[in-house]
Amino acid sequence: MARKSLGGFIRSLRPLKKYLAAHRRMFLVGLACAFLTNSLGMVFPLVIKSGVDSIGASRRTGLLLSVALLIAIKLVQGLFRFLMRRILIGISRKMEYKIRADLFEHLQGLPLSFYQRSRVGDIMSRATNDLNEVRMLLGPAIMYSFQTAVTVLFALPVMAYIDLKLTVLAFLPLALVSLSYKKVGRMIHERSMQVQRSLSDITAKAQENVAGIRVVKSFTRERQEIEHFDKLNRDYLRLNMDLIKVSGLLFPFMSFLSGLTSLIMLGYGGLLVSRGTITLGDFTAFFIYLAMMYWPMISIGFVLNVIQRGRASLDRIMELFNTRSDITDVAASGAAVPGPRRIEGRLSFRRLDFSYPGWAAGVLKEVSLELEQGETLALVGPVGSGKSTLLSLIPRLYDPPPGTVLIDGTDVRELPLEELRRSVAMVPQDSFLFSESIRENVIYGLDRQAAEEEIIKVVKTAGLYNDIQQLPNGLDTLLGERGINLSGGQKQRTSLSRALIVDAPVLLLDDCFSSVDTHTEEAILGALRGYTRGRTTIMVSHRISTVKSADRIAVIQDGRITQLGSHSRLLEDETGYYASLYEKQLLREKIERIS
Amino acid sequence: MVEDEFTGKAYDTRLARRLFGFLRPYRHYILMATLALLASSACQLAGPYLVKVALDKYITPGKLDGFGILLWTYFAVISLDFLFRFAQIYLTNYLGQKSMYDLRMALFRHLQKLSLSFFDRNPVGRLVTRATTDVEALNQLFSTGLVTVIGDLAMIIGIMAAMLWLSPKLALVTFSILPVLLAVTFYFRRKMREGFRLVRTRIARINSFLQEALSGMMTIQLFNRQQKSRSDFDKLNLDHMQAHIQTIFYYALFYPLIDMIAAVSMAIIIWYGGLRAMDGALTFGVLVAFIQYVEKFYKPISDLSEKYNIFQAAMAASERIFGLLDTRESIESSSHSVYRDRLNGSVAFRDVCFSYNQDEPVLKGVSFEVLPGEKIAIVGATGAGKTTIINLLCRFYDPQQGEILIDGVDLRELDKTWLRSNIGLALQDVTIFSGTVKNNIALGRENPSLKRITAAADAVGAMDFIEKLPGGFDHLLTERGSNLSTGQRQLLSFARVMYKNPRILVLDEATSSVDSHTEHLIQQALERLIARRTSLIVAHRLSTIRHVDRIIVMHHGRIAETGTHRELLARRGIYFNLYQLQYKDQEITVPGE
Ligand SMILES: Nc1ncnc2c1ncn2[C@@H]1O[C@H](COP(=O)(O)OP(=O)(O)OP(=O)(O)O)[C@@H](O)[C@H]1O
Ligand SMILES: Nc1ncnc2c1ncn2[C@@H]1O[C@H](COP(=O)(O)OP(=O)(O)OP(=O)(O)O)[C@@H](O)[C@H]1O
Ligand SMILES: [Mg+2]
Ligand SMILES: [Mg+2]
Repeated sequence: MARKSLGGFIRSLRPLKKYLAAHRRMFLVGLACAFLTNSLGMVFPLVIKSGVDSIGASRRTGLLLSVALLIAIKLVQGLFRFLMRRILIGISRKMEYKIRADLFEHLQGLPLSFYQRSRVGDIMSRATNDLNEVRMLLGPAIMYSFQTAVTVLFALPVMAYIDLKLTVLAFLPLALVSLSYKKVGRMIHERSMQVQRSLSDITAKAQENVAGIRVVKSFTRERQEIEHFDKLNRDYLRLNMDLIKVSGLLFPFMSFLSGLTSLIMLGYGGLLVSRGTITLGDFTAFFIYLAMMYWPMISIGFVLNVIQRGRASLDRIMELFNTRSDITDVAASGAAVPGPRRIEGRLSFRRLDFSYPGWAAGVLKEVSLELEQGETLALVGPVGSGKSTLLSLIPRLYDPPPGTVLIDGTDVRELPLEELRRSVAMVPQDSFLFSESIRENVIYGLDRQAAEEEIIKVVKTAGLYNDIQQLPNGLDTLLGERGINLSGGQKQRTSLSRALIVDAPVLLLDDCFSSVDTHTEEAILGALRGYTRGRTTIMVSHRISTVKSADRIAVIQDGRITQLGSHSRLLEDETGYYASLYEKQLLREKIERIS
Repeated sequence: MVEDEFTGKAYDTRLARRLFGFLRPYRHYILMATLALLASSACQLAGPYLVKVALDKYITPGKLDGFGILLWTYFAVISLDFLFRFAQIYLTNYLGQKSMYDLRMALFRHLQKLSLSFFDRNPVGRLVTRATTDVEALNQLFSTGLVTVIGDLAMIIGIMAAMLWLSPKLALVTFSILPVLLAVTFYFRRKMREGFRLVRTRIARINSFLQEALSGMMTIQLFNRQQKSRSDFDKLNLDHMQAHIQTIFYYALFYPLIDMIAAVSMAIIIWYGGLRAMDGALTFGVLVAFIQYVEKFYKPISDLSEKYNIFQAAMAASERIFGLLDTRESIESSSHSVYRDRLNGSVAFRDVCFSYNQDEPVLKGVSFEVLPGEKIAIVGATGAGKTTIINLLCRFYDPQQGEILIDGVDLRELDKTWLRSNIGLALQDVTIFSGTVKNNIALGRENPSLKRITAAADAVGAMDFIEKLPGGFDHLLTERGSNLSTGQRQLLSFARVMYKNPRILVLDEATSSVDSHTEHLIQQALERLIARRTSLIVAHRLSTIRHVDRIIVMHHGRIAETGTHRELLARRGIYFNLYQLQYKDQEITVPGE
């Protein structure tokens, strides 16, 4: 193996080093066991030979001794073999566990923007299929390559002792392996990468199809979906066969090489014997050792294959690890963090300009706004004007520019992330519920146990109590994935309850009554009024009925705040957006027609 | 719920027969691969024979003429071996990949047929696993297992035959150890099966958890639950690892034990055979042959136990795959399904009762009629059953009682595809597919017309933002369409319906996240576009439904009131209350009512 490619090879495996380091001592013990069991395997033929010799010489005691030795050796060898498997494979499983845990931990730290550009199916595929390939590299590959190494180590000196030139010749074909290794290795690497990528595509497609099955069905897109899946599936088939064309060669090729070695032995060795340079006995011994090296040599092919596939998969996992969160946490940076304090909830936006990372268009433009502690602000504005964006900057789902978003006069970027998010309760526009009971979903954000009365109180505030009583198991009703067995409005109110129970000084409601009827909404708003007293609240809505009683209403259009004031103040500006919105929601036309 | 449990049998005749059904189209490949395997075995046997000839005929006597030819023959043999081996590997992999391809397609096709109640109960992650990981688990069986097992079995039988032929007595003595072998194998098989089942169940749990956590990462982060989900995940991850460690123990013990048994056989042969050879009752050659055979005998046996894993994994996977394929929860079009050239668009619900689960009725005797071209609004408290009515109309579920008629024909008599292609449905929960904006509107229709797409987008007021996207209609959206605002996503899903241009329009809160300005524009466009189409509109904002002909008020799964806006106001019932609530403060400015 050329030094350069070896260096690159080792470098590509470096990420595994720290996982191995934790098991270094056991790993060495495992390798020692591998060494011992394989070395004893080399002695085995000798014992058989001596047994056979004793028979030839009719020595019963010799025979008995050989037989006893035979079993004794196997016993010891079996013990080491047991230990080797247990230790080495066990370590590979432990490393798999640790990598998976680290990966999950890492994924949890990645920002929302990452999840918006990645497909769940793809990440899943890396965390399962690719991780499995890496484990193969850690366990079996190491075990087998060690077996090869030991065998060669033992056989080589004996063979070299018999005849050096013959030995060099016999191992010549192996040199071919290291020559071709770099190229073949790269091909396997690339092709496995493509195979894994294609598997990711298939996973993501299936995932998307099943998740969107309602749309698929109602638009009768089944055939097109099948065709699309078929295309991906065909690609996968083709890429797999491309890979087999190379990796499938390895095994026959190694077998061919070992045949070639025998051929050289036979030809050149035969010549030497006939010339009398070596004895027939030497020649036979040589052959026995070569035969013993057959499997270890062939397994080189297997090992190369596994290693290359494992590396390709490792690269794909490292892609995930190398994605860094751009949202830095002061608590993690080690800088002196002011001790925990009670956030009151004054909010300020100071000349806030914002555009999504990687997007040219500005979404928010010069937004300046001050919210007193305990104030309720309503945000209205056309579709896509930046309302949700503004809200998402407060708990730092995206990072605002420095000094533009402040809580109690402190830049949100300066606050420890956990503390910040603990003081901001948010109901996102799209409700996401976990497939657990309603109760678990409601108390999701709590670190502590919640008393039944507390839950009921919150659920009542959110106007969900009556619905829950209708359900057979009440609060303990199990939800399907994403709350599939709830109605749209029930989902929204569950998500609202989840935010209300955490009792945070800042409450952000992003259009969370859109699927709730006016009647229920009115009841919730009434109940919320008591709740939001003393809490800084921003609520986004498209409905006048929701926003009209807020302390102040801000109209946001195309990323700018164009109007700000109370309901009655804003109505005074008859040409303004708010007044016309109000106008639209009147039933004037209809009423006129009716009467 | 279909749990990820399975019996863990390694061989189940019924399953195996079905599985091999998928191999049937490729039986020629199996045959060829087996032939290639046998040919390469022959080559491998020829090698040692040639060496023996070389020794006996050329090297020992020291006569080297003709030795060259022998060497060339040897070369030819190893070259042929190379070819046969590659052919065998390629063929088996090809047939394996092909049948996996077939299986995956069969699963995917089947999934498209299942009813929504099935999808309600089965998490996405699990169904995806069926079509990917589980199918992948068959790979080894198809590509290496099957053909080599044939080879291994042939080898074992061949060796036993040869031993019996050479010396029946010594053979029987050697076989005396076989019951022990069987007992050991049997014991470990059970242990491994348990471990295997544990491992599979636990990895499935990890995957479901991961899938959900990845989908809801924003919620996790917002509520600072990283710690909790980390420790939940860790528990699953640890359980999985421990299940593995447990099985490793048995595997680690099993192989050395098989080895031990082999060594004991060897010892028996050398001891017993050796003594008899000393007595001259056995030739030396037979003894050596036996020693070689025994060594060869145990390799396929321990190989077979390795294959056993493959079989077990394959059986477990196919149990789950066929379990899914056997789910007959599809809503079938009836055998004599009715096609019509044109749908007039009258809809009737007759005393429809429905529940998602047996015990809680959601619709309790709903009856109403919609005339062709009529526009109907359905209003009512959340959870009243509005979406459910729509689900039934699109035949996502079948009602337990009563009937639903379209143009006077029972839904169950109508062809499902035909029915759905005539209904345009905008769902309450918006789904965006990864792909271009264009494809999201046309939804995979072949050669979509850009003109119609633009018209559809224009009608729902989506042009404004689409034009601003880099690439416009060719802008790539991600899985959840997350680079759009919620309202924009809703507009896209609305545009889909407009593009489809259906006879019956069904809007389930299609504009709930849209501001009234945009909504107003949409309504004006709709006036033009959907004139004389039957429409059912679910909405909470009363201004959304101001143009409808009739309003149905749902209350707790029953129809509480129906009538025109005016009639309902006059009744001073639920609708009147809703109306009052939404407009109570407007009475100052609107002295009309
Ligand atoms: N897939 C389902 N499985 C079981 N129960 C369901 C399912 N979907 C809805 N339900 C239940 O059926 C009832 C009616 O739900 P539906 O979705 O029809 O209400 P809705 O009138 O559309 O309400 P909303 O205005 O909130 O959307 C609710 O109580 C809900 O919990
Ligand atoms: N993750 C994102 N990446 C890039 N652009 C985005 C992203 N999310 C939103 N946008 C764009 O930013 C603009 C503002 O989006 P935002 O979600 O803040 O609107 P909104 O006011 O909440 O609208 P809606 O009323 O529809 O909820 C939109 O034009 C949208 O296309
Ligand atoms: Mg929004
Ligand atoms: Mg609904």
